[in-house]
Amino acid sequence: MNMVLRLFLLFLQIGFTCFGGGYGMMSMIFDEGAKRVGLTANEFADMTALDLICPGAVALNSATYVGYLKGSFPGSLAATLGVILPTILVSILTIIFMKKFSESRFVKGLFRGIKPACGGLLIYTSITLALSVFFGSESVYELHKLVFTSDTIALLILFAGAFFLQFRYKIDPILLTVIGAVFGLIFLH
Amino acid sequence: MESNTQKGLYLFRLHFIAMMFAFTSGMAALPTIERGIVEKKKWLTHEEFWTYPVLGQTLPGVISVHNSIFMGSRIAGPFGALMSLLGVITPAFVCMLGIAALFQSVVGNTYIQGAIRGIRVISVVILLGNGIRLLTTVKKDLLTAILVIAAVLLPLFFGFSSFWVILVCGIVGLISVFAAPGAPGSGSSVQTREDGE
Repeated sequence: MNMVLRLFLLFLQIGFTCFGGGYGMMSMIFDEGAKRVGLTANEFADMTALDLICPGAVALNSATYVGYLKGSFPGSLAATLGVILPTILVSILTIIFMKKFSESRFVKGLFRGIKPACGGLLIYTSITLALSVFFGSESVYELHKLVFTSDTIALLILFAGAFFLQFRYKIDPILLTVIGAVFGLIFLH
Repeated sequence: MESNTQKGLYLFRLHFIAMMFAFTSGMAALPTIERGIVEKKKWLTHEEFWTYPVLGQTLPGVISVHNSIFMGSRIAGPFGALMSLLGVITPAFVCMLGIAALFQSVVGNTYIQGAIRGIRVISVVILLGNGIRLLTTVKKDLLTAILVIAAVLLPLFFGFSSFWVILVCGIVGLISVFAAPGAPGSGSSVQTREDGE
């Protein structure tokens, strides 16, 4: 199938099934993106970082970035259209059926299951991403051939420091990204 | 009284400017948009304004896009919705195209590669942080624990796609609510009509 069409369909599916905005979509961009448009873990990691630097909604930034990477300008347009079309449709339906819709037990029940799932999936995504970023391995089954270098130790120190700063001091994510970049510039090239 | 066309154009400008300065996420644009719609133009009250972002979070899709369509159509009909929508999409799309192109052109430099590796570590921290923060807002009980553990382990060790995890967990949630109709507090508080018994 044509790449532009594949990007459109991928993001159409993501737009329909993901709750909670951009970060609710991350897990699906990560694994469906790998299967269907060949998005690598490193490309995904770059995307999450650039999302923070770029103005606008995370979901739209992500779609534009993945689209551009895999299908240049037409790809970015297709991915963006794909992710917003379901939202537009759902919005219009909601305006028509308003209140009933969002306060129904159906939506409540759906949410009862989906919210924990999204949280769990984000943790799964960060574990897989961490394996790739720290050790260059693509799945948990490659763990036995881990390579520890001085770089790995520097990366782990940065991870621990950033994690601490984020949770202890609720430091601004943009500032955290800048710290990561400067650390990398000095210790990781 | 302004016409819907004037209102629509104002909504486009307001959303566009607010989004241009909303780094990290679209939610960061809300205070600016509120200042324009609630304080300056008085088209919505503070309470009316904030029902939309909350509603948007309970729906599938892009929250900022939901917001823009809800507010835009409420204030100036379909034209208002369209203009607000364009105001939300344009900055994200154009800025990300520029950043992506720039990023591709500097990616070969070894210092830049070092910086990128550092930034990738931060991505892990931010994603993990978002996951943990999301889980702190969920009701803490056995069902939640099972769903969270399943959502981590099934894709990690058994190659389940996140699409199926979301679908199956959604169905489990539905069953849990509908199978316990008498259960107090299981979403039934909304069902009880408080207006006139």
